[in-house]
Amino acid sequence: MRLVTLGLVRFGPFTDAALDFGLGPGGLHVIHGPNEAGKSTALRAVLGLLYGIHDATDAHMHRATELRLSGHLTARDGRELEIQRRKGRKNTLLDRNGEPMDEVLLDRMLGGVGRDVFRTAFGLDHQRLREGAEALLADEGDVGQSLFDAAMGGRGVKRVLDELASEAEALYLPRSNATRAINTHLRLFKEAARRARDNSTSAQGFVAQKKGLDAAESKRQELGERQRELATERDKLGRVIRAAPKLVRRAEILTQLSEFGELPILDQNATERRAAVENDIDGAERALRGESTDIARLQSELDVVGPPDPILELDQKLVDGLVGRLATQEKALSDQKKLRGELDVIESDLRAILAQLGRKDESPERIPEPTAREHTRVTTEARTHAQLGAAVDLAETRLSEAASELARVEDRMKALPSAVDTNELARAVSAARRAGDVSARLASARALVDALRLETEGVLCELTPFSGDVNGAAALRLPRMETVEQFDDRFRALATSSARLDEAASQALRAAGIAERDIDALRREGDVPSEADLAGERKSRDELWGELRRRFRPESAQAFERAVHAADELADRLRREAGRVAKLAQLEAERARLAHEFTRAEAERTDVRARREALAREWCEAWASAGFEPASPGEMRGFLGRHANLLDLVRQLRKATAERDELARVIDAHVHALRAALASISASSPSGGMLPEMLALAE
Amino acid sequence: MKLVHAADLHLDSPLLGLERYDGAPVHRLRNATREAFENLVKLCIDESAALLLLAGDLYDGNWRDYSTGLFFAAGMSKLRRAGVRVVWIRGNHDAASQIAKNLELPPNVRELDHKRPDTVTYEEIGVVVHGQGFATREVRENLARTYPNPRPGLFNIGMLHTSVTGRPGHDPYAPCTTDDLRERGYEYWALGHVHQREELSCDPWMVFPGNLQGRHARECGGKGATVVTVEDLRVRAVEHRVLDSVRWAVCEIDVSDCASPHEVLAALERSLAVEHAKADTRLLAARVVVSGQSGAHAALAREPARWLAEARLLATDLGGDDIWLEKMQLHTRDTVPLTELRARDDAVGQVFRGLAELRGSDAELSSLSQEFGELANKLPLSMREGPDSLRLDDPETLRRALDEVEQLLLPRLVGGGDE
Repeated sequence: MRLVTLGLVRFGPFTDAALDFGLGPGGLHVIHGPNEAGKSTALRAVLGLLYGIHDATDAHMHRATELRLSGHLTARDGRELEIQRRKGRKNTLLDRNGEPMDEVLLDRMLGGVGRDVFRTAFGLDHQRLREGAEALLADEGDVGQSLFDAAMGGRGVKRVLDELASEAEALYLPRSNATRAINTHLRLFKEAARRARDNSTSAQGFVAQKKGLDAAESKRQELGERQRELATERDKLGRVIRAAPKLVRRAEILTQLSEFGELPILDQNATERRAAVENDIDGAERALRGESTDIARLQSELDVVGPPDPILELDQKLVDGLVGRLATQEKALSDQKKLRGELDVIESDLRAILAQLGRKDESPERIPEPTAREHTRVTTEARTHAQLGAAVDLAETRLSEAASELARVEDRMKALPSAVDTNELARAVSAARRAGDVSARLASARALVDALRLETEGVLCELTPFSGDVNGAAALRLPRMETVEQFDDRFRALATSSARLDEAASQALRAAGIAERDIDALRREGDVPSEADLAGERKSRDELWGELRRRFRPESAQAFERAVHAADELADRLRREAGRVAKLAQLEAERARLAHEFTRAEAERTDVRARREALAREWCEAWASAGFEPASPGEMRGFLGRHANLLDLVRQLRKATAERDELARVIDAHVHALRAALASISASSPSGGMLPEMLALAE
Repeated sequence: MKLVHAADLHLDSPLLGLERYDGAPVHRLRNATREAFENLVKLCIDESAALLLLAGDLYDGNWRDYSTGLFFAAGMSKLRRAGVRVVWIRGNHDAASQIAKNLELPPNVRELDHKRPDTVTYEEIGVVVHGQGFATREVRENLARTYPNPRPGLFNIGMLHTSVTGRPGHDPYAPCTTDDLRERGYEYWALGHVHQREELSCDPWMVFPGNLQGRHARECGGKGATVVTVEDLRVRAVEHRVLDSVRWAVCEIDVSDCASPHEVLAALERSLAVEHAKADTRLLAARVVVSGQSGAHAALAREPARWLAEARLLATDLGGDDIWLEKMQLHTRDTVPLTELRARDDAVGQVFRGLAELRGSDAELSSLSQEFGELANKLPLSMREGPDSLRLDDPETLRRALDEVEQLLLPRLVGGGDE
């Protein structure tokens, strides 16, 4: 759109003025003039024409209602529009005839560019620029934003402002609840301070409390004391209360007592005595009453009986004695009959016995009673008689048996040949018998010898590294078990330290490998500068500087500069890569330490090897007298055990052999004696016969 | 004979500037000054020290919890059982401390007077100690001048809480010169107040043992006490013994060569590993200062909270409970130079020119500070006062903030695009 003419009909200082931009072939129009010539007014007039006159700034010469602008616009496509503008609330856009006109027509011409955009894009002045910035800060209008957005390369200033505002709000709001960070922390701080105050013990408070405590403590003690006193008092009073009724009673009794006047003092058990006496009196009275009744009854009976019979006047004892004698008499009469029967039986028995004894005529009554002694002798004689009868029977039986045996023996004797003297043979046999079952013992002795020999040979076979016979083995001069134990311990100790050193060396090697790998890794990451490198660089720089000072030459100046750079760069790298440098240094130190450790372990291992060889030599010397190379102490300990076992077996074998030989000799002697005895009775004996056979024969 | 010289225990003084976060070893930090004190007691017993000299500031002035005093008294009782004598003087903090005023200590502990120079003599070990404590929080006089003459035939020790001729970060209390001290003719000066260990002289010996436990990022390195060996009335050896239980360190990382935050983290890990090793088995409280013109700046500035969390994760990963990452200060700059931006003839250029102008004008800064008036008023007193205070009305504070604002805005307005 182009503005072809601008008519300042009544606007600002102008009346019927016009600016014609249609004269030339187009291009740039410059409006210039001194201050207050109306350049800004003209710019405002353009805005007013297109978007309406919104304020009364330019109504100083003309009244606001009379302000009037006109213009001629052409569009790129050739459309043209002539318009006028007045100040007012509605229908301010007029056509060239002064008739109201639809703003849409003008809008189309303007291509939708609003007032603000137009002002920003085409109508900027210093004032508007300032307003734009303020609008931005006030978050108003899109002009300021568009300005800043443009300057920020498209980032939304609104977004940035919103972000900042929300961040600021999240931090703090003057009158906020506790959700803002600073507000929250202020609140927390206050609470914490209050808690600290509440929880702390003030010095004065403590001292006051301590004083209070002391005072309370002494008060407590006082009160305790008082409490004890009161308790004592209370106990006393309690006793008094408990005693009061009794005291009243006592007073009453004392009063009553006083009424009796002077009274005798009774002793302590007077009451008991009195009770006993009263009791006695009661009893006596009761008895008296009973007796009186009896007397009355008897008196009445007596009255019935009348005057007494003279018999009744007899002595009671005499009567009792007579009664007893009467009973005895009656019993004796009944016994008499029974005894008479028994006497008859005995008499008849006696008569029979007397008849047996041929004293038939004698009356039993006249036979004197035998004395006790006679009676005893008769009894004894009768018992002896029975015993002797039995013995005679037995002897007779035996006699007959013996006689028949005698007859039988005599028969056999008659059948036997004449007798020989076998005394010697009997002695020999007896001697052989006394010797027991020597043959069996000989056999077991032989078996034992064989078994021991076999075992000895077995042990000898196992007695490596010794090679020789049993006697040789028995004669061996060997080191003592303790010596072997000692050697064993020393060998073991050496083996342990050797193993430990091997482990240490291999650990050192392993760790060194790791350190080496780390160093390699570190170096592979890039060359790690060292203090030495830096020193070298600095040295060459200083040399160059020295040379430069001696005589200035451009090339040495350049070289010096390079050297300075190189040293600086290295120093920088040292600083930057301090971590790596330190790590490298640490790793190298570690590597050196490990190498040293490894070397030390190696030296110790060599030493242990030498000691081991020396010990091995010493070991062999200890076995020199045995005549063979010893195996390890462990094995030789086994060897010594087996050797001792062997010696034991040899001893047993020798003993068993001797015993066997002795038995064989005894058997020979017996066989010889038996043979001689047999020969003496002209009995033949088999030559080379064994002892059992010979013995059987002899017997 | 051995003497142990310590000062500035600041028992139960809070360790400052530590933000609590998940996995942070809170308890170990809380107990740091107590643990260091227990280490001191153990040192005295292990060394069979004849005497412990405490040259002031046992407590923190405005710390009012009396249990601190009871804890100190328990330590003193332990020393009594071990036969260790203790002499102490009040420092500026003790003068203000309610604890120091009220606490009863066992008989092996002797406080030197704070109204006039005082002397305590231990004939049995041949030692005499002269000194004067602080009667008030601010003592501006030269106390050393009025100290008594040395006693011949004994080992003379002077105790003084002083800043000598002045030390940065320390109030200039009880000022004096080394010549003032030398003139007294003592064999050893047990000084206190300056938290950085310093041997002012070795003839005679004048020693600041430093504080027992670092309390913030400006008190880095091994803190502890000084063991003095005395033979024949002469000092034979003066040795520093590290006793702290938490070690402060500042990891300054130049990330000029780092193209991404991950490389920054790698650099941080190396730096932390070094400090962690130095701290031995102690808890390391590390402040991380990241600086340099770096390609990583934009990402760091955009999400500082994220990278702080990453850094803390890394610290936890590296040291477990042994590392507390106090804070991460991002002083990085964008690779785009500000001069170039300010020269731009567009709105962005205007913003950065505007910020530069704001920074240059005290009047503008003053009006800016009013923006923060309300926030400043809400800050607790402890944040508004003292060496680490946040002074929102201080032009320098605002200038530093504006530097940060520039670096914060830069990647958002012209940075190398979003990640």
